[in-house]
Amino acid sequence: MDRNNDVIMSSQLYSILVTTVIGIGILSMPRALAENVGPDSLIVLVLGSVLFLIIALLIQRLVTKFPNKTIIEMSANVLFKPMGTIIGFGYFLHLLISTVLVVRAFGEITKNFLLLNTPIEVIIISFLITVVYSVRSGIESIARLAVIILPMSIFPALFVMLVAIPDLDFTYFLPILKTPLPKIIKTVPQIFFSFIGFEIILQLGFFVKDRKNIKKAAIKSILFISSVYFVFTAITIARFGIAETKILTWPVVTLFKSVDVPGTLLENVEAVIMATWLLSIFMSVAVSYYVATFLLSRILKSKEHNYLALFILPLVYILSLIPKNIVEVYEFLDKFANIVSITMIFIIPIFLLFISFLKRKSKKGMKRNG
Amino acid sequence: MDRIKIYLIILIIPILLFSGCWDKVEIDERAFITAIGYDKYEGGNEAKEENVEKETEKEPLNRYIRTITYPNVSLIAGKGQGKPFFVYSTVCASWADGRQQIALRDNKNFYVYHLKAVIFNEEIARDEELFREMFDTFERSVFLNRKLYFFVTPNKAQDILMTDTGKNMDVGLYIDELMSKENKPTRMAKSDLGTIAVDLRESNAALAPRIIKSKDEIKVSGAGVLKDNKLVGMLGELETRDVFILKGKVKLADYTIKVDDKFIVVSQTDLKTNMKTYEDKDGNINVYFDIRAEGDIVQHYFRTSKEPFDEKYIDRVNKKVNELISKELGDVFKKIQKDFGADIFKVGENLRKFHPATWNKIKDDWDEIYPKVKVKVDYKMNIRRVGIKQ
Amino acid sequence: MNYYEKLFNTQEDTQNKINMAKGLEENLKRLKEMLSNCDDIIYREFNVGKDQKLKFATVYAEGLADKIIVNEYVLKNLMILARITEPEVNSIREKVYGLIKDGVLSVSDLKEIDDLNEVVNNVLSGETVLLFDKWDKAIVIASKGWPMRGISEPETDTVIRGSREGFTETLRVNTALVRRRIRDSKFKIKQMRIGRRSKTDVAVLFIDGIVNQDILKTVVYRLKSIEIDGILESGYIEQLIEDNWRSPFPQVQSTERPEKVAAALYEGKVAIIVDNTPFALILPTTFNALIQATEDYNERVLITSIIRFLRYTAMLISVILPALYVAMLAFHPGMIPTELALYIAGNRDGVPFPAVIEALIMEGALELLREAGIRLPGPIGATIGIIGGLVLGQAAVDAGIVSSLMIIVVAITAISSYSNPNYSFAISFRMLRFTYIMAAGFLGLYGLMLAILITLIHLCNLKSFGIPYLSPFIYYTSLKDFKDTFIRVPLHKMKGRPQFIAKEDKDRLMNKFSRDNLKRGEDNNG
Repeated sequence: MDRNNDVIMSSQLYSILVTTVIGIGILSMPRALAENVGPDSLIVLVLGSVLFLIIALLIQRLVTKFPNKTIIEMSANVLFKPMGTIIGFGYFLHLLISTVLVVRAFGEITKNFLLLNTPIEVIIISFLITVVYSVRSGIESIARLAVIILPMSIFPALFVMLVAIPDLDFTYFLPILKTPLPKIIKTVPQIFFSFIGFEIILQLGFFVKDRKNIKKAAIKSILFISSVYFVFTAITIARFGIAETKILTWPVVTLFKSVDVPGTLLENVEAVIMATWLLSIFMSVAVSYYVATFLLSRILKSKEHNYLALFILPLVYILSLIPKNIVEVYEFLDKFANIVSITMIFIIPIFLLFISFLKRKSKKGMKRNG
Repeated sequence: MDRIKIYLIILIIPILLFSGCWDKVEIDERAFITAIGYDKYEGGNEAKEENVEKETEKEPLNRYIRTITYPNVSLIAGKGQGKPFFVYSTVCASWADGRQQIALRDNKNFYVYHLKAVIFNEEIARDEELFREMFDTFERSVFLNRKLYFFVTPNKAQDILMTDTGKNMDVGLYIDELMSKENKPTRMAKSDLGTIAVDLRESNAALAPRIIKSKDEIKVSGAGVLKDNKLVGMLGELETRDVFILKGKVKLADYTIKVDDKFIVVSQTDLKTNMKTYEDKDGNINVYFDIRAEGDIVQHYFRTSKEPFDEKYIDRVNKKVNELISKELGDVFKKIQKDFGADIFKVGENLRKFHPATWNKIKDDWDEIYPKVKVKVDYKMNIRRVGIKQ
Repeated sequence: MNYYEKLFNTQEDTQNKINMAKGLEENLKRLKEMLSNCDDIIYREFNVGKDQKLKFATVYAEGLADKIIVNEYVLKNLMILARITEPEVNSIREKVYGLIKDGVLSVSDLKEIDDLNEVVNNVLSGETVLLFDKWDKAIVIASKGWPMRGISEPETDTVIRGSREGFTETLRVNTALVRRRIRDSKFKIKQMRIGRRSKTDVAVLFIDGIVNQDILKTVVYRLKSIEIDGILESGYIEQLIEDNWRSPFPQVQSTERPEKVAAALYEGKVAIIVDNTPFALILPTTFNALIQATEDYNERVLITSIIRFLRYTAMLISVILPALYVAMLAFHPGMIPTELALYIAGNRDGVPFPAVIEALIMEGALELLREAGIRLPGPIGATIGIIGGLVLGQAAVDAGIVSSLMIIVVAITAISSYSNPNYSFAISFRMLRFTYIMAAGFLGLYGLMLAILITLIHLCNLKSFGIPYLSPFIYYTSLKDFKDTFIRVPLHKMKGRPQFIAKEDKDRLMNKFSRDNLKRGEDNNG
C-alpha cells in the first residue's frame, strides 16, 4: 500500500489494457457481427481492428507527449485551465457510467446462468465490495492482479474452444465480400466500441515507469485483444452458422454450453467458463472504477482517493439498479457507446493532439520570427 | 475505524449465512428429470378426472399431456430399493404450467439440466403452433442443455416413458446411452436440439430421430422430417441411413447386393461425401454428390471357392454395387425432394456460399425451385478386403 | 568503521556501563548484589603465586559453563602451574594482567572487558569471568559448554535425497553449519542481542555483494527496533518484523535445514538464526519460494518439474476442492456428469445435513485429528490418525451422518495439503479452505470465485520486505524468473539469480559453462 510509490511497468499496462477491454462485450460480439455483415464478419473485424490500431497510436502519442500528466493537466495545458477540470469531469462521468452499465449487465448474466433465485442486489453489492477492496489497494496492486488474471480468464475459454474445432464448418464465411459496402462501413465503428476501455491509457500513462515502452504495450494489447475477438467470433460463427448466431443473446455462452469436453470431470464447462470470465469483468470494473476515483481525487485536489472509492460505492450501486431489464441495459450501452464513447475515445484525444501540434508549430514559428 | 470494521464483519457474516443461500438446493432433494414426453390432449375421460380440482375458469387451455420421468437415485447408488424410475403425467397448457402441475405431486425439486431426451408425439409435431411453442421453450431455456436429443414418435410419448427397460434405469438414461454408444448404429438420425435448431433456421428443414415402442421394447430408428416448423413426414431405417450417407455424416454402412443370383453383403467403410451445386446452361440447378468409399465383402456363399478372389468377379461386384447404391441414394434424395420439399441437404446454403449470384436470383422462389433441382449421385466404391478365406 | 559495522552498530551497549572497581572484594560484592539469589552462579576465589598474595576469582554459571575448561585450563594453570613457573608477579603488579592473559591461560578465546554489566551478561551466557585484585578489568574466558542436542535429521522438511543435517538449538553450531556450505570471505555473519531480559543472540547472515542492500537495511532496522523482554523462538522475531500480521500467509520462511539457508543466501536473501531454536528465518519470502522443496534441486530435472507441477496442483486442490464440491452439489449439479450426479444424489440420500455443514464438520474433524496426532507422543499419535481416519469415517458413513463421497473429498484434500513442503504455508491454506467452503455454501461458484478474487487481491497487495509476494508471477518483463516456478528448468539453464531480489552480481553460472563445452571436452579426450 505504498502511496508514494504508484509505479507500474509497461508490461503491466499491457495486461491492464487487455483485461479491461475484454469484458462484457465479447459475449454478444459474434451476434452483432453476424447480424450486420454475415459471412464477412471476420473481414470486418480485422478491418475495424486495424483502424482502431491507428486511433490507438494517436491516443498513445498524446500520452507519451505529456509525461507525468493526467488528462486534466494535459487539456489544461493545451487549452486553458477550467477546460482541464471540465474534460476531467467528463471522463469521470464516462467511466462511472460504463462501470455502472457493466456491473448491471454482469449482474444479469450471473443471475441468469449461475444464481437464478439470488436477488440481483446481493450479486451486485458483493461484487462491488470486492471491487472497492481492490481499488483501495492502489494501482500497483491492480496492475499485479491484471497480470495474474489475464491468463486465468482467457486461457480456459480458449482451451475449451480448441475442443470445438473438429466440429467447425468454415464455409459459413462464404461468400466473401458480398455484403453491401455501406453496411460494412456502418459496422466498423461498432468494432471500435468493443475496444471501449482503451481510453484509460490516457490516465494510466501517468503511472508508467518505463514510458518509452508505452507504445509497444499499446500495440501489443490491441493485437492481443483483436486476436482474441477473432478467435471467439470465428469459432462461434463456424460452429453455429450465421442464422443461429444472429438470434442467440450470448452466442459465446451458448457455444460453451454446446461443447463436449471429452474425459473431464465436468459435464457442462460453461459454468466454469462463466466463473473465470467473472475475473475478466472484475478487472474491467476495477480499473474503470479506480481511474474514475483517481480522476475525481485530482479534480477535487484531494490526495487520498482511498475514501473517495467508498464514497462512490453507493452511487454506483443505486445507478446500476435503475435499468428495468437486460434489453434496456444493452440498448443504453449501445447508445452510450455511440455518443459518449466516440467523444471520449476519439474526438477529445485527437483534438488535443491536434491543438498541441498546432501550438508547438506556432511556437516554433514565433521563435524563428523573433 | 478498525473496531467498526470488525463489528460490521461480525454482523454481516451471520446475516448473510442465515438469510442467504437463495439458490441452495441439496443434490439429494432434487429430481433429475431425464426425459420429457409430450402428447396431444384430446379430452379423454381419465384426463378430465385427474383435472377436477384445477382452476381453469377463464379458459381451459389444456393442450398437452406432459409426462416426465426421473430415476430412483438410491437404487443407482446401491442404497435402498423400489422402482427404478418414477413417471408423472399431467394435462397442461404449456411447459411452465406442466411443471407447476407436476411439482404439486412430487416431494423433490425438479431439475432439468440433465435432461437427455424430449419426445414429441407425431400429432403434436405435425401441429405447427404447438410445435413452435414447445421448441422455442427448449431453445430459450437457460437450464436446458443443447446436447439433448429430440425425438418424434408415432406412438404415445407417455407409453414410451413408462417402458421398463429392465436394466434398472429410466428411459431417459437408457436413450442417452443408446444414442451415445461408441458403435453407433447407422440407421438412426443422430441430431440433438442444437443441430435441429440450426438446421431449421438455415434450410427450413431438419431431421429428428424417431423413437418407436413395440410391446415392451423401445427402439430408435428412422427419422422424422421437419419442415416449416412442423413434422411433414417420416423416413424409414434404410432411408435414414442413405440420407446420412448423402449428408456425409456416416462412416460405415452395410449393403446387401444381388450378384449372379447370390446375395452378398458388402460393407462400406471410410465413406466420404462431397456435395457440389451448380447452375447449368438452361438455368437449372444441379446437385452432384461425389461419394468415395472402401468396400469389404463380409458375406458370400459357403464353399464357393475362387469367386471372391477373382479380380474380374470383384470388378463386376464393384460396378454393380456402385450402380445400385447410386440409384438408391438418388431415389432417396428425390423422395425427400418431391414428397416433402424439405431441403435437408442444405442445397440452398451451398448455393448461397459458393454461388452467391445464383442464389440471390432464386432465393425468393427457392421453395418452388427446390423440387425441380436435378440430382446426380456418383458412388465410387473400391472393394479392398475380402475376408480371410478364398 | 566499515559499512556493515555502522549498519549493525547499536548504541545501547555503552549507555548503562558500570565501571569496575579496582578491588576484587569490591567487584565481587557488587557482582553478588547484582546476581543476588542466583544460586547457579559459582564464585571461586583463590590465590596465585608462590607466596599466595595475588587474589583472583572466577565467576561462572553452573550448567552453562564447561567445568572442564574452568578446572583444567583456568584454575589448574593459575593455581598450580603458575606457582611452578614462578612468574615475576610479585615484583611487577602492572604486568600481571598481561602475563596471565598471554602466558598462563591455555584457552583460545579470551576477551577483556571493564564493564560490570558486561561481566554479568557474559556469565549468564556461559562464559567464565576471571577477576583480579587491584585491577579494573576482567578477562572473559570462552567456556560455553552445556549439554546440547547433537546434530540430527530435521523432523519437518524431510528429504529423500539431500543432507541429513538439521539445525540445533545452539547458534554457533548453526552458523557453522551454514559456513561449511559457504566458504567465502564475503559470507557475513553479524550478531546482535535482542530481548531486554533474555538477551538472545541473533545472527544475521548474508553474502556481501549478492545481497539486496535495501532488504538488508530493512531487516536490520526492524530487528533493531524490537523492544521485547524475551525472545524464546524465532517465531517471535518473525511475527514482530513481518509486513502484515493480518495476512494468513507467512511472509517469512522458516526452515531447519542449513542447505536451504545457504541456497537462499546464494539467491541474495537474508537469513536470521536465533539462539535456542533450530528454526532459521529466510527473508524475503515469496509465494513461489514456499512451494519449492529442498530436494527439487538435488533430483534430476524432469522428475522435479513433474513433481513441482504436481505440488502446485495439490495446493490448488487442497484449497478449492471441498468448496467446489459444495458449490457443485448445492448450486450447480448441472456441472457434474449425469451419472455421477445421480450417484452422488443417491449417495447423499438420507444425510441430514446440508453439504456445507457436512463439509465443515468433516474438515473440522480432520483438523482435530491432525492436532491430536501432533500433541500425542509419537506412536500414539499415529494410532489416533488410524482410529480417526478409518474407524470414525467408516462409522460416520454407516450411520448415514455423512456421505462416503464427502469422506473421499476430505481425504484427497488432506493428502494434497500434506504435500506442501512448508508447514506454516500449509496451515494458511487450511484456514482459507474453511472460508472458501462458507463462501461456496453462500453463493455457490460465484461466491467461491469472489473469495478467490479477494485472496488474489490480498496476495497482490502483500509484500515481504519490499518484495511483492507474488513475484515473479506479476511481471511479464522477463521469462527468466519463471525458470523456477511451475517447472524447474535444468540447472545449466538457470544462469541468473532471481531478478526481483538480486540486484548485483546477477550471474550464478558463468557463461563459460555450456553443455556443448562438456561434449567438446569428451571429443578431445577420445
